[in-house]
Amino acid sequence: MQTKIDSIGIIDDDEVFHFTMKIIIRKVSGINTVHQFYDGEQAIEYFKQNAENIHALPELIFLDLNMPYMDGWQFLDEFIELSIKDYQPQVYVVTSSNNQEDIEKSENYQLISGYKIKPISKDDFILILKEAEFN
Amino acid sequence: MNDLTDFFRKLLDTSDWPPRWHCGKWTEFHGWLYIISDLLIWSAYFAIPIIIIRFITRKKHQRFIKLYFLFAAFILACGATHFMDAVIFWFPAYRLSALIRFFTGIISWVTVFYLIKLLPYAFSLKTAIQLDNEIQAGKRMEADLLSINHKLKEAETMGGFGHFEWNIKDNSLLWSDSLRNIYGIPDNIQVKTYDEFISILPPDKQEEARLELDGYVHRKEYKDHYRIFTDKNGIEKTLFARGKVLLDAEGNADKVIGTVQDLTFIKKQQSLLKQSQDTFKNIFDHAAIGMALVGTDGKFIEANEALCNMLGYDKEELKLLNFQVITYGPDLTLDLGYLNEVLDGNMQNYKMEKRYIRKDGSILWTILSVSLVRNEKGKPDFFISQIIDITSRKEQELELTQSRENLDNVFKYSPVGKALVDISGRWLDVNQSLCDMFGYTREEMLNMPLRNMSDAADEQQDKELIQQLLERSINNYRIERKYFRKNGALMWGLCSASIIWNKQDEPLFLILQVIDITENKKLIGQLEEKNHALEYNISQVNEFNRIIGHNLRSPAASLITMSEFIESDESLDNKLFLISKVKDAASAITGTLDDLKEFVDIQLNRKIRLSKTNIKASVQYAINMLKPQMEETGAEIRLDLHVEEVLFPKIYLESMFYNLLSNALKYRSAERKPVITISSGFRDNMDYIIVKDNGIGIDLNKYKNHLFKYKKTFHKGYDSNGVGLFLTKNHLSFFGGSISVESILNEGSSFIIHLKKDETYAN
Repeated sequence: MQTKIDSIGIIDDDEVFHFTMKIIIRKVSGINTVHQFYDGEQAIEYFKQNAENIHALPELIFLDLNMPYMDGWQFLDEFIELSIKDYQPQVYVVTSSNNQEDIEKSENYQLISGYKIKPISKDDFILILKEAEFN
Repeated sequence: MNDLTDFFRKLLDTSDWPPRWHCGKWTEFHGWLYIISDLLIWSAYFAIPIIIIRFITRKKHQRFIKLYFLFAAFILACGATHFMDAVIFWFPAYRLSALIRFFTGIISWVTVFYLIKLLPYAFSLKTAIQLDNEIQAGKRMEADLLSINHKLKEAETMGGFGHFEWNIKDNSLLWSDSLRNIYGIPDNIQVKTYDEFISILPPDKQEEARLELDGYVHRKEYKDHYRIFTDKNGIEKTLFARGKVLLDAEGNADKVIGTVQDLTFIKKQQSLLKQSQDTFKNIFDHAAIGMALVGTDGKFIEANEALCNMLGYDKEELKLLNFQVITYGPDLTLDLGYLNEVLDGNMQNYKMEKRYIRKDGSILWTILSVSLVRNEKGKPDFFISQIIDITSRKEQELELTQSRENLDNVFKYSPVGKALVDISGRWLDVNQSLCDMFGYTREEMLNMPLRNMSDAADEQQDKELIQQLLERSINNYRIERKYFRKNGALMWGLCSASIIWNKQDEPLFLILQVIDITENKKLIGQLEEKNHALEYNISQVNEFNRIIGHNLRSPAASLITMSEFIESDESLDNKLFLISKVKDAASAITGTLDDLKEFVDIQLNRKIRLSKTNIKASVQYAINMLKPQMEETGAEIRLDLHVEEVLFPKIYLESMFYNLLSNALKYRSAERKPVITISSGFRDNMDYIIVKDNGIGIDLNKYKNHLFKYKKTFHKGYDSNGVGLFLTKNHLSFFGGSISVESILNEGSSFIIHLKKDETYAN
């Protein structure tokens, strides 16, 4: 069943990634809302605060792995711990790491819908979006 | 004739003669002598017959009774003549006197003739002594007879037989008392005739008996026979009658005499014998063990099924054989030897282990026991052999012996050191390998207490383990132990021990097996080192990959994205923003590459060598480097050093203290003056250094796994690059050391560093 994705969350410590993604999103999708977090801690704080208000939460999440203070894995663990009611976002790991170690680890998380290696082009993003909307 | 008539007429007439007194010249004396003598004779002659008559009349059944009377008459007559002679002196009746004399003469002659007639008989008469002797002899005979009778009676009673005599003519029957007893006839019933005998028989047997007895008479021949007789008490008796028919002068049957024997007891014995024979046969036939009757020549007379099964022959085949043929050769001599001893009467029976050859040629192991049966004459009759199959037991024994030999050989020649040790720890036996292992001779070894050869530190453990063995809470144990060879060198042994118990469940001794694993230990040590190095290398490679994946690829990916955007139709503002970020990405790449170089340098260890480094000096170096921060924060450094020097490259130790102290200052608590305590010591074969601060602490729940990783930072708002601890950890790891952290938020952190005391595991 296809659902229109209206909001996206980007959790990444890379400023350039945020910048370029915003441009791509604006150009190729109808996504209105982009939540930007520069490390896992920021993101998890936001999810905690809005746990009762799932309309404020992104439907699609791009998650970087290597971040200061709280990395992607730690975020995932805490997010699962939160277990926000009726909230099932599509989570894509978007990272520069092509290490097998990380890929295998990601497969252990049911929550993760896909693992994408940077850089992400416009076309890559369109594909991810289509995939996410179709799921 | 006239004279005769005249004689008798004038018989008492005395007129013809004067009295004697007047005839002739009698003196008074002469006359009276004559008269008195005659009267004495007369009186005597008259007295004798009276006595005789009285004697006769008193004693009856006297022989010669006529003679007595004749004598009496003769003497009376003589007496009468003498009386007449005396009377004639006064009364001269000569005629009467003559008549009396005549009668006397007649009687005398009659007596003479009678005597003559009796003479031969009288001669034959015994004298009184003879008679007396005869009477004595008769009495003796009588006594003998009585005794014989008595003995006969006794014999009859004892022998259980009695005798009878049947007089056919008058049908009278004579039974001995014993016979009455045999038939159990009560005293009040008499059996004195043929008919009375028949009547004591059971009614249904009477006719039969009559025919039988009549038959003997008719045939004049007695037939010995058995008679089953039930007496008044209901006891059934088996009687055996033997007899003879006696004939009279005319050759007719006169008497039947015979004996009857009570065979009840013997019959009973016979039936018991039969019974026991049956029992024997039964046992023989169905015994679980093999049994055979064997002739003195060795031939099988009889064999039971069990034996046939054992030997594989059937009964008939076996009876054609003798035991010699089927005896296993080497056992025959002994068997025959025993057999002859028994035959010679030196032994009653014998028992031996013996092998037979089965029909299929295989060997049958048995225990044979043989006893000899002798016949009535005491001559050997046959043997009874009992044979128990012990083949399987023997095979087991053989196997056991072999396995025991094998065990012995295993003990002797095993490359593993083996020993038997008693419970108190004394050697009972040691094999060559064990001696070689320790470098002692066997004699030295046996005299050397086990504890002199082992590490005293292990003694307690040994005791406990042996106790557990004795309590059977364990069956055996296996431990690595330190031993000392004769030359004092340390030997690592893999020692296993178990207890051998006897049948009474008492511990006999310990079996100790020792394998020298000194060399293995060394090899394992080397292997562990290699493994350690390999693991270390793998972890370093992984770490390297991680750094490339995240820290190098990330800015590179950014650069690619940026260049794409810059080349695209993006707005100028956007392009300018991205261009401004290119430098950041590029320097991130350069910085990471520099760090990686240092990281690789550590691994390659180009110049750095392990050396003894003074802790205090290294701390001092770091303090000097951090002088501005020290002064700014007013931090206090305390030293508590129990180990002054550690084995670690000087520049690494200085760098470590620099990183740890700068962190401690950086993450100090705003609430208190920083106090950093540096202590050192030795524990668990390693030197340790602890750097303890009273700073803000680290949330270990969150960051435990990331603490020493590249470019991991845990505190926002601090200028930290996450490289210092990463490098420190790598420095330590490379030389076999380690670093760990303990921390409580808002109280402080302790970094604990362990360093190798020697170079064993150093790369």
